[in-house]
Amino acid sequence: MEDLSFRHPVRARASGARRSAIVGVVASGNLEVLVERVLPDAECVVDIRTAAMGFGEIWSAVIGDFVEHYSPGGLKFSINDGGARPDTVSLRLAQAVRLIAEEGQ
Amino acid sequence: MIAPLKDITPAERARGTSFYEASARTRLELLLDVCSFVEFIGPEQREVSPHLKIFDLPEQFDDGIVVGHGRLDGSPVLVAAQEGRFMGGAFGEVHGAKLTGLLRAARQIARSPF
Repeated sequence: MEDLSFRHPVRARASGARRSAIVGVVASGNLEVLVERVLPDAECVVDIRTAAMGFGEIWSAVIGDFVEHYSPGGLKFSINDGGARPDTVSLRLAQAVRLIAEEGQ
Repeated sequence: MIAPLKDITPAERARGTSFYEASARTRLELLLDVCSFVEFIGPEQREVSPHLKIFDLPEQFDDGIVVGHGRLDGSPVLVAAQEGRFMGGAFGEVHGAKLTGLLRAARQIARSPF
């Protein structure tokens, strides 16, 4: 297992009022993303535990793209990864941001 | 044109979703009355398996099971849904404890008069 952590300054706060949301399943080629609204509005943190070692640079690129595109200010993402491909990671991150923006608990 | 997700009623979503392929969490959401589900020991509490780390295997925040209470056609129910894709559907200590705890709670509630 490998642990990675990324912290980004963010332009704007993520929309919605929900405190947390979770998407995905930890399985081969898949991952779960737990997102929590616990940070200051101009920050975003992504903590990753992955089964695939040595892909730090690719994670960095995918997370950088994601933060640039969605501006997820105030959100902390915790990821358990079962060796998902970058496109699956991008999809789950986008789903997490949409889910926490929806109405509900 | 495809309607935005929020415009689709839960019943329509349930009909259009394969329960065989849906995650444990999605199955509960589609089964129960809208917004009635309250989870016990949710993923944000991070009660993960104490053993997977020893085997260098990835953990899941809910250890592959979702338990809680909700309403089914207005009636209160206790519910559990197991995630078949995590660890190939195998379950460990925390997963098992959540399920037995739920069953014990159900037994106690059944005994106590309302």
